Amino acid sequence: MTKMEYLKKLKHALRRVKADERKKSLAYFSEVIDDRMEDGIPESDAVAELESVEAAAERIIAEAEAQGQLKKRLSAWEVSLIVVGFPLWFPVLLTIGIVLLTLYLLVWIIIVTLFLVSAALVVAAPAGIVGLFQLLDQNVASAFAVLATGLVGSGLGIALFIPVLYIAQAYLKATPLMWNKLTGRKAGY
Amino acid sequence: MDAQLKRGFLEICVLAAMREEDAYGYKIIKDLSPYMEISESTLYPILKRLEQSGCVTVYSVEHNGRLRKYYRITDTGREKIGEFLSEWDSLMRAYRFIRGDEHYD
Repeated sequence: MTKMEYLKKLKHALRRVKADERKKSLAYFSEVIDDRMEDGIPESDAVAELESVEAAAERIIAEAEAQGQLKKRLSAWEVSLIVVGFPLWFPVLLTIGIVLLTLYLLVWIIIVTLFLVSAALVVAAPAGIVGLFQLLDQNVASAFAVLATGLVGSGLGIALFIPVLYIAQAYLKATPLMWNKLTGRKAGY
Repeated sequence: MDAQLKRGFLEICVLAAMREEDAYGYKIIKDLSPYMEISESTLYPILKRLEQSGCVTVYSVEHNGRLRKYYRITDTGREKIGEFLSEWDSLMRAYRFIRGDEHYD
């Protein structure tokens, strides 16, 4: 087993322990494994020399229980309150979820719109060239004005495309982070 | 050995392991290993309790790009070792009684 696997399992086994104390326990075991490895013991051996996750968790939980560091369990009336309150809290929660999802999608819609604007502007250059040939034998000045407008439009389109692409990538990258924040999950083990 | 008794005994051993210099988890395990078997998971609650009872103080030091927790014995901790040693005679008397060996020396 690797260090990360051990710590991940331990974290799961300690889910009843309050977050602060659980973090301290994990830091302690992480340090002990690191120290063994620094002593020249290979990672898998360093982990194997420790007590099993179950045994370690049992000791930590017993100690945490004695010191009131376990998460509070819901009492019977709290559970019944949640059940009875279902018609109230469920629609509220659902509404919040939908609002958040809508806000999230709204940003994507803005990004897509900006892409479309950019694409539409880029098309202006070929359109300008077509316009140039159509108007050339009627009015030379107008023909070149159409071409110039088309070129300027394309230039703007390309200039817009790059920052929009950058924003889209950043937003895509931020999505899992926002999700973790919302669900209270943290990176790492 | 009775769990409660063993725990009290181990607490003194852990305190003794940091009497000369501040120590960190793995060092305590290594220093105690010739004398007794103690696992990391046994040591952790002991250190936690010693810290809470004011027998040790804790500080972190950066070591190879990570944090390592060091434990330093306090005066209270030293007193605790002293108390244990001074109780030794009465403990031995009780031991002799338990053994039923009146001539034990």
